[in-house]
Amino acid sequence: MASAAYDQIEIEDMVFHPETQLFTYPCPCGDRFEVFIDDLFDGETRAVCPSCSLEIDVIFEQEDLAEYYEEAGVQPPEPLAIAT
Amino acid sequence: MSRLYCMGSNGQGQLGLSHREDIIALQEVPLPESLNKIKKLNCGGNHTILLDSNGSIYGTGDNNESQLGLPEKVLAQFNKLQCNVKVKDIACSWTSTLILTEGNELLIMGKGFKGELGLGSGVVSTENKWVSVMKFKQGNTVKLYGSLQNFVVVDNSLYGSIIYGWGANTKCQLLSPKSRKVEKPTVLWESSNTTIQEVAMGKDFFAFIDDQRNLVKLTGNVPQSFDLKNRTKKDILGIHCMWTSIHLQTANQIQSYGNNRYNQLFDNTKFDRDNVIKFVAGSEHGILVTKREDFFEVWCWGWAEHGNCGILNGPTEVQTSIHINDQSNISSPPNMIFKCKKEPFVYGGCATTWIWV
Repeated sequence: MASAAYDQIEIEDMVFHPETQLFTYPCPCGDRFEVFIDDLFDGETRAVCPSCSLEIDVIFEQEDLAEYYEEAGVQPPEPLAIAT
Repeated sequence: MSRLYCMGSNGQGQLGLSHREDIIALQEVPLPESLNKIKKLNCGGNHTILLDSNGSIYGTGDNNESQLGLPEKVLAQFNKLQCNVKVKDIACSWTSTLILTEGNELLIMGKGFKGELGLGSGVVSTENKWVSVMKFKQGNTVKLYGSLQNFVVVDNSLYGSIIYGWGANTKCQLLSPKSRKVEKPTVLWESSNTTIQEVAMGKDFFAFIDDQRNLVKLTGNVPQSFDLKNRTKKDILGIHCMWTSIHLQTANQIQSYGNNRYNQLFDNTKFDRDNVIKFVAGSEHGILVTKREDFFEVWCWGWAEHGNCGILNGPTEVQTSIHINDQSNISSPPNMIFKCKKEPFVYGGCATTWIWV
């Protein structure tokens, strides 16, 4: 079983980097938690820090990703189902 | 001339020790000869800034976002930062540096995607130079505070206090209703009869204390267990926030509220001293100072994965050799790391611990 996350972070508080397609958020160790947008699309909710054991849960709905895919100028792996 | 000691997270040279290893025992920091007495130390995510009593500033660590304004991308030793004016105060966000000049002007350098540069719509970088954010009246007492995605500035005058803030606002840490960011200095609060003395900043919640030690304002995503209603008495000797917890010093105890996954909440039952004189909070660890007869002790507790709370029951003197972090102390109970005769200054950064005397 995966260990409990250190914290829960809403996707709007993260920074999206269109060039690497990564969402990042500061880790208390000085490095950054990272997760790829496509992994979030596929249902991943954990972002991990490359420098320590801490992880965060990313709070989002799949449809939240639309604006970031648009910003990066790429298509999601499958069409996004936008709630109406 | 001050002597500076540190330990903890050091992946970008932020400890200024000429190496980039995380260390678990205090080491003395080599300081430039021109540096006078240390007046303040402040850390961003991976950079560290020193202000000395001459009004000069020095920096080490990550400069990839031009948060130090020097030619090198990464520095592992303190270097004097280029600044044509004398500096009175400093504060850091995750990747930027804010300074107050002797002319009471605020200048910023670095990068920030959440409005924390305070330079208006869409400005996320200053391109390696100081840029003016705002100016205060001559004679006013201005104090700077920084957190990862926010700055708060207190402007005290004979006519009262005005608090300005900018940066992320998704948890109403600045203003209600929430917004993604506040990109220019904005008045958060003002009063003609209350003087704000201290601001404690968590990741996305802030606490404001007046000169009578009342907690007068609390904003943002405050840890649920903390209740302001029980805290209006004048019993707060000190208040500091880790990113996800809030801590009060009250008559010889530290009372903690919030995230306790790594022993961040101070366990008074594991601490037998009764004379805490001050404490500070780093990102997810705390540092306190006690006085015993004629000497002082420094203790650390909380998340310690980067060596920042020292070796459990380890040495209490500064080490001359490098003790690379062996991950032997991850989640630290109160742990004594230093003893000295003169009252030490302490500061906690992002998994870094600093002491100067």
